[in-house]
Amino acid sequence: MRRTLTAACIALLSVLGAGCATSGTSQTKQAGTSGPANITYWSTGGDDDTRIFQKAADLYHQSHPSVTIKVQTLTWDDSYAKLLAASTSRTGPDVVSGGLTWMIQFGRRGGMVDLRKYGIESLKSQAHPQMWKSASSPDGSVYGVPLDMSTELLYYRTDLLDKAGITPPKTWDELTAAITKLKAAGVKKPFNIDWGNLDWIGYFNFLYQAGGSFYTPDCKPALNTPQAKQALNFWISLYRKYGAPTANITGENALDTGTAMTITGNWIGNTIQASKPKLKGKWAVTTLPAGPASPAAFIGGRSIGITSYSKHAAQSADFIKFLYTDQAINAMITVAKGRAVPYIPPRPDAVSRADFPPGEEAAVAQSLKTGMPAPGCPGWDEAAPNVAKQLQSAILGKTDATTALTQAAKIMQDNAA
Amino acid sequence: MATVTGRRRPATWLRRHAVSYVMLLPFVALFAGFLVWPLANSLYLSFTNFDGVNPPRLTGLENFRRLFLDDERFRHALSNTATYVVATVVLGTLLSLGLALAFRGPSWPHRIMRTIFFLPSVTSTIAIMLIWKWIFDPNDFGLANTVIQWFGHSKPVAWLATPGLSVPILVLMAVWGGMGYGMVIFVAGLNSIPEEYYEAARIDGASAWQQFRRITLPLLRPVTTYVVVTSLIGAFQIFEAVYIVFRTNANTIGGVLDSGLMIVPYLYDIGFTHFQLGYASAIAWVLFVIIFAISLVNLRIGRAFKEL
Amino acid sequence: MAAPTVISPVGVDAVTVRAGSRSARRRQRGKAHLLRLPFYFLAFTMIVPFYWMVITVFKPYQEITRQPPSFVPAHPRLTSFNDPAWTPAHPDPAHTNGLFQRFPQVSLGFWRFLGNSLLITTSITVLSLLVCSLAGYVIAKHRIPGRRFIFLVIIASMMVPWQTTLIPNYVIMRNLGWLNTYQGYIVPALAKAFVVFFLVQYLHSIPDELIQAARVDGAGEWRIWWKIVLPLLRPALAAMSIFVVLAEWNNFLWPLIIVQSDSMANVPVALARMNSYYVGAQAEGAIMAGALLASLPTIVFFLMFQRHFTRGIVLSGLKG
Repeated sequence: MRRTLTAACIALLSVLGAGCATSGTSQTKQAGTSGPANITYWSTGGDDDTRIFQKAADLYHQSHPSVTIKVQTLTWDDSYAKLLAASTSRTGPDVVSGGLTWMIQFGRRGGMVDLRKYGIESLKSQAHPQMWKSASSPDGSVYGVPLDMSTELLYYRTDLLDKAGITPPKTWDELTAAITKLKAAGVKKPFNIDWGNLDWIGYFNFLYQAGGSFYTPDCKPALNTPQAKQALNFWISLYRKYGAPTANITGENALDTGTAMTITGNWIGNTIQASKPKLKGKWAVTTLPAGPASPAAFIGGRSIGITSYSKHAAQSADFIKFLYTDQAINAMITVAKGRAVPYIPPRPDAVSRADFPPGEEAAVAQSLKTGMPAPGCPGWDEAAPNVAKQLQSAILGKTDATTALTQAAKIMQDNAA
Repeated sequence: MATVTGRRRPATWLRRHAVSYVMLLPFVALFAGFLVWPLANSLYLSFTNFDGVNPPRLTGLENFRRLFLDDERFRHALSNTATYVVATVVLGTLLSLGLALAFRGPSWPHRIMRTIFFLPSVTSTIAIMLIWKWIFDPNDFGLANTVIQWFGHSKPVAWLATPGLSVPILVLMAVWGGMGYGMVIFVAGLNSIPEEYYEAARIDGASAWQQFRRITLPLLRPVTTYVVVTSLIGAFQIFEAVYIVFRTNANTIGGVLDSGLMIVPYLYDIGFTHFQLGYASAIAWVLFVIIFAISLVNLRIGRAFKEL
Repeated sequence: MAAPTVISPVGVDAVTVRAGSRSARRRQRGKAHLLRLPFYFLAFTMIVPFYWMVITVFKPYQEITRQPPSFVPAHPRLTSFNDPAWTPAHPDPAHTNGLFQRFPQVSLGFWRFLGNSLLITTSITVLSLLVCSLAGYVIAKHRIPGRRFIFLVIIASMMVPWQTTLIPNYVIMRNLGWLNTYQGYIVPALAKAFVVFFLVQYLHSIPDELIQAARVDGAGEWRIWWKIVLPLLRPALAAMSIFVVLAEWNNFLWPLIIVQSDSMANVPVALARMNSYYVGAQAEGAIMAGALLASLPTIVFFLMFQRHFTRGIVLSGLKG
């Protein structure tokens, strides 16, 4: 017994010794490009998203029996940290999907495969051009391609708007006028921002509507502009003057508890339909009110890429191409239909096939046409949370718009390096 | 080894001690591998720019300079933590003592009360934090908002998105969850004070308050110190409450305007969402210094305690 | 009249006998009850969050977001755990998936996380108590060179916040390929300085003669440890196992960092995952059901071994 224990202890010590050594980065050996493969795919989102992508993976398996793809869920909350850890530790999945611009950040740390190696450009003409641009790095590397789309819309209670005798606002001025009239008509909660509340996504809409942007085309911070300031001041006024709540209240619950208008993501329509039968016939949806420069809205969506240590990069790239085919898109839409989640394919020509509640499709199509996705600049995803904190301090009156924007630009500059 | 003890029968000695060392080995190996060595390594990393990918490069005191001179978020985390710790420890200790005085007896009602107050100490922390998050739901149907509606406050409050409320809510949750633990220790301390002291005091005509001031408090001092020090250390390490309850946006930690940001959540944020492992190690060492200092105080008091 | 002066076994069953005339006692008691009033209110607030959790679990999907909320579920259901009207193949939009219908990509779903937690907690408890009792026995009862030094280092390490070692330990796990494995959970958690410290203190109160006698009888050290020391340590081990079980069942930060795939999560990490920023209040039924299942085992464990709990706290607290 003593001898075995000693042996065990020696083994333990040597294991520890191995752990203490600093690891060197090793070149990943590629398995055959068309041979059998077990691919792990980490998908950021909910269980329903996983079900949707697993459906496509199963279809792919039918036509490529040697390739098996297993999809796992990462929640939005800790997904960025998990994927960053995986790409730096060179362990984990083969395929990953997450925020549109995330792959750029993992790619510049050497964690992702440049998909151009596998002829991914064939998808470029099919994708939303701005989405494709944001998913690619400024140096031309393509570490990720768009996987799906979503956008910001204005949902409203038709009964409450009728009560105030107004139609849904089409411009910034009409929005503030509508809030005033709703208040006058006794509506206690005229307006709410859900997706992007107190966050950079909320600001994004107004920034682009005012004609501004986060970065210049060559990825220099661009927040020190009059447009950025105008947008921020308008956004601030919605909270401070027009009483938008600072708390995160999801759109369907906001409408259900008497909010007249809410800016939120297009998935809310399906949720209301499914879970709020009392709202039936009392709600409608339209595009966001246009700003002084344009009717832009934020386009969300995920990108998908392949990790640099994957042994099955070729097969994974082929699967990604498969996700753009009619066959895959139709199958994923069918899975999404039965649930309270919309799946909007990354191909603008296929958007109309997705499942929308009545009246929503036109708004979504219009919004996707004029909208803009997150900036595809290095360091953006690390900077974004702290940029959001600067914007918050302006909203909550701790600093003025100019200072907040200057600080935000500095944070973006620091993270770009 | 053999040379030192060669005078006595070396064979037996060696055999006897070899067994002892072998018995110690599993613990010592694990202890060295996962505590001592990482501790030293973390000190080393705190002077480097380690990013988890490239080999660490020494950058001298740069991390600490940035931490104390440049990093507004860290300063925020430190001051939040300080406010939180002081409020939690003071309130928690006072309430624990009060509870111990009220429910120290052997009767059933007292036992039940003690059980109730102790319940959070044995409940999953994450579960408790999820409950709190649900209680402070910003919707009208959130429990906190329902309660304020009863008292005539019709507008729902953005509990978790109002910077001024973040630390108070964190303190409330910590005191709620920690009182019972302090109470149990105080009860033991109270019941170890000999009854004769009180009897003598009563014969001398001392009032209840005088008895408390002159007998209970002085004799309870070591117990009080122990409760204060352990809750200080625990409070400095707050993480779950911030991570779960003050998650207002995806991919960020610390709540609106960082109003709920504390040291350990910030360490997690820098280490694992920014992967600045060198810089995060510097934060870890600041935490180390704070807690080590508090513990040294405890050690001195602990010695006094044993002489009790 | 001698009042009990023992510190250790009090806690919940403390006995103190107060002298005094009957009427004086009654008067005192009335006043004392009045003084306790705020504490009874406080006790009520202790119950509220637990009650809110439990009733949320038993409310059906639509009732959870009802305005104003119900305080007794109008139609108590178990749908938060499992909603038969909702199946992956035929999701009914008017229903939502219960706790055990979530995590579809993990075989066995939430049961898997309960199993993970159980496996990790029991392995760490058993193994760490074995490893630490061995070390504690040697340090307390073997006169070997270096034992004082080792003991000093162990005491000093108790003042180290474990978060300081978080990053290097993460790097070690990564280099060993132990991220996302059971050994990544278990092995780094075995060397518990506090347990050794406590056991050494306890062993000091056990006379050496027992061990000496065994040695004279020719028993080996391993045998002495197994046959004599461990049985003697039983009360101390019971107290320590409570601490270890509680800490490991609730462990969150370390698992959060080392767990990569869904299936390796323990219960707290799985719960945190359900609580995503993008999830609306409708999911609270399933989340609260998970919270209930995470809390019940330790609460039941506590109610069963209440005396050991408080004694453990008091022993470790007052002797530290």
